[in-house]
Amino acid sequence: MTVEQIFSECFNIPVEQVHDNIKYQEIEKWDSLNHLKFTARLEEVYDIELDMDDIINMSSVKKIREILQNYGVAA
Amino acid sequence: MNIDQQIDQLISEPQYQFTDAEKEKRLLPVIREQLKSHYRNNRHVKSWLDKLALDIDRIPSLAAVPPLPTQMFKYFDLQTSPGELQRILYSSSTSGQTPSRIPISPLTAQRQTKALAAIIKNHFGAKRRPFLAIDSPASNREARGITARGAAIRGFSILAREMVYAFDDHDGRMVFNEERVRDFFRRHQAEEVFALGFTFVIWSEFRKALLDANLRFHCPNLVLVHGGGWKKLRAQSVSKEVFSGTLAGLLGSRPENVLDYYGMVEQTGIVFIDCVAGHKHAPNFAEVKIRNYLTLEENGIGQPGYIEIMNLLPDSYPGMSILTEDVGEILGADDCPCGRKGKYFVFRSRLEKSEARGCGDTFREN
Repeated sequence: MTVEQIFSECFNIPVEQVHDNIKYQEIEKWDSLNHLKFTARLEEVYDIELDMDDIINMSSVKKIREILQNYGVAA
Repeated sequence: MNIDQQIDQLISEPQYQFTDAEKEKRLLPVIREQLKSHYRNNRHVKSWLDKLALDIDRIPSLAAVPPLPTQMFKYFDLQTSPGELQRILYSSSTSGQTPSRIPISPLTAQRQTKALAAIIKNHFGAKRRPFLAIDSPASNREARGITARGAAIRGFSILAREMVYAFDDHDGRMVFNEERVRDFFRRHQAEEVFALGFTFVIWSEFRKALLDANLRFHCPNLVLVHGGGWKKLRAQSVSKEVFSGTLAGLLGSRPENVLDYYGMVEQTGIVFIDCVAGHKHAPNFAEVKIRNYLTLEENGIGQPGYIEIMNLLPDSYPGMSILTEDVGEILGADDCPCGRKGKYFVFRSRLEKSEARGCGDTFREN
């Protein structure tokens, strides 16, 4: 599963509309609660364990991609 | 650096590093700017400051920033940011009283999340862990606004690797879910478990449920963090020691792992968690003052008085100097055995004669 697919599924937007510049809280569903559901889903799909700083720093799709790369996930 | 950048820096720098004197220097210029902005953006703040005839640029010290009583959030709309709000937080409204209404902008909410994470990280580390919320999911549901209980769970949940609620919600009543709690401890008891709840809920509901079901766990690395009022427990003669000892016994942890936090809905994003020495410390972006009951002058070390919290996080309400009805005492500055710098204090009680505020937002009794 790509990060776009997971993002699309969690925040309820069409996958083709997911792009690097989307920022936290810019779309309605991306609030603090759904953010935690989303990060839990990332952990499940990629079998990784994020720490608190990662979760805070995942403030845009671009940042999410960068952080996942630190865990060896080619997202 | 503009003030937004200065605030971001205060949040992102390592916490509890400023000495008392450094804090004065770092916080005062930011608070002056915030006051000016609040003055421009809210007519109630304007008339308050006009009446005080305050020259904001000449405020000489943090202690000279005028304290704003918490009750003002009940009577006035104190929104100070022009844009749309993210949410509104409410404090308790015991028996028909007006609840406080705290407007939260997107910027305030973002800072609160980051600030709380910085505090949690300083106390517990960045590693996320199994999380037992001693509450029902209903407390954390966003309808028109969420309460202090919901805000606390939501804020701390960043520490959760897996979140489990100990209670279900049945028609507004909390019902203990024994099977889910058993299952949680079965899977995680050897790990560093984090449990969070309101003091009164933990004592009157959770403890009772464990006793009724004759449940004991063995979770030596469990940390139980609890907040909210002590008033109802004190009425039942439950001291902090009895509370910590009883819960540690039931959960198989140590009394030192049961940590009290002080926080309030007006200061979401900031919690004052007991350090190993049992003291509370203000993070970089906040300060604590104790004010004399009669004169409201700043009290020195060892003199109890009203707790005032200075909070630099919000742009959407005046949080820079909120005077509570709580009683506390500064025990010292810069020399706490835990190593954190700045003033350290203890919470004593809610003021005896204050209007009944409920225990933060502990329990609606209807």
